[in-house]
Amino acid sequence: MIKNYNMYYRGTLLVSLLFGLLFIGPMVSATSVDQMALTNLEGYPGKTIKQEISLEGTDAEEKSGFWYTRYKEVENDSERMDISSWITIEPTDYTIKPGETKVFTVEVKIPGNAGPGLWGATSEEAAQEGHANERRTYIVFKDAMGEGNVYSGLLLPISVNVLPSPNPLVPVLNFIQQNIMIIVLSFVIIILLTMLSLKKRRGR
Amino acid sequence: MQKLMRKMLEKMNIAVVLALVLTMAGGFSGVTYVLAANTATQEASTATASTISVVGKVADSAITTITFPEGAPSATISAPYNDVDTVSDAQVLSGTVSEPAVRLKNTSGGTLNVTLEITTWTNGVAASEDYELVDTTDTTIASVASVLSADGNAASVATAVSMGTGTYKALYLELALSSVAGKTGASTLTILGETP
Repeated sequence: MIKNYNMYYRGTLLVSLLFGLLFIGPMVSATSVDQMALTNLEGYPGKTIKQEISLEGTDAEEKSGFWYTRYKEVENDSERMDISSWITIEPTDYTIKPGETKVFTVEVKIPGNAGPGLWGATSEEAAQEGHANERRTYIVFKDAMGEGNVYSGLLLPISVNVLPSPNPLVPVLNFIQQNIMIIVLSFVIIILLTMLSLKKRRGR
Repeated sequence: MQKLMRKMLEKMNIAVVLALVLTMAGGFSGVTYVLAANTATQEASTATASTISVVGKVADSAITTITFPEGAPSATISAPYNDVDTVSDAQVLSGTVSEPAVRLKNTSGGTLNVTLEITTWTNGVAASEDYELVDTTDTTIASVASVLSADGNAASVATAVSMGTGTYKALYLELALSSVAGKTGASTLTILGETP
């Protein structure tokens, strides 16, 4: 009788546990990113900078989300602070499964008339802790589970250091610097050969 | 004899010039001389960067929706609930035993500042929305007064609240309905994290 009671008790406990598991939702969920900032990217006016960034699903469930750009408006900001129109992220929409990693391409198209200097942030230290006030332009990703109305995401500051238009002589100078030994030797050989031929002519 | 001397001097000049050229070329080419191999290994790593999780009032179960119960036009709805705790365990405003609508958990490897964003409420059902973001140990939230959206339209608020790694915060919400009657509206709430 006691044995039967124990078995019944254990059975009830097991069923209760399994039933309880049905009502436990997915545990704490988050999406990870491999970079917390894309600041001080360098490029020339009219050129496009490409940078990869990846997300990893660390949830127990699939999440759907998207990327967008954002400008944090601050009074008396210069026009250099909002570079959101320069930026595209491909693909924009995503779905990420548990344990999956997805790579996105951030393209920053620098306008041809952009002046040299920093754009999108007020200082080159904007990505560092304690410098939140120096950030202006961000790329943002956010996602949610299923048909949910609660999203979670991260604000990633982005800035571009536009370089002065390159000097057309730079490639020539680089070539000379890389091959200085051959150039000098060739030059000397040519001089010596010229001198020898001149002497021969004089000898005649 | 003089001819021989001159020829020898010419050959010597060429030899000297060649030697000088070789020396200069060697110098210009930037040869690096390593005197000793003093090396030391350095190592560093960074913590993972993750989004802030929105979880239930007690359990660490991820929530997907927050629902404001139906109310009369122009009424204030102070008892929203999430899909984990359900309507039977809605938000409670009280000076002593308050309970939030949801909790936020920072699972990232570093401290994050919290920004809240909402999209415009559809069908013009909302007149305004407020929030309070406090420590979970604070159970004295009797009123929700920080403005999230002053007119029910899309808004973004940098809360100035920081969350350390592994910490929780309690989020209280309150919605003032507009004078529109017999309508259902929706909006999305976004919790954004940022390096402080």
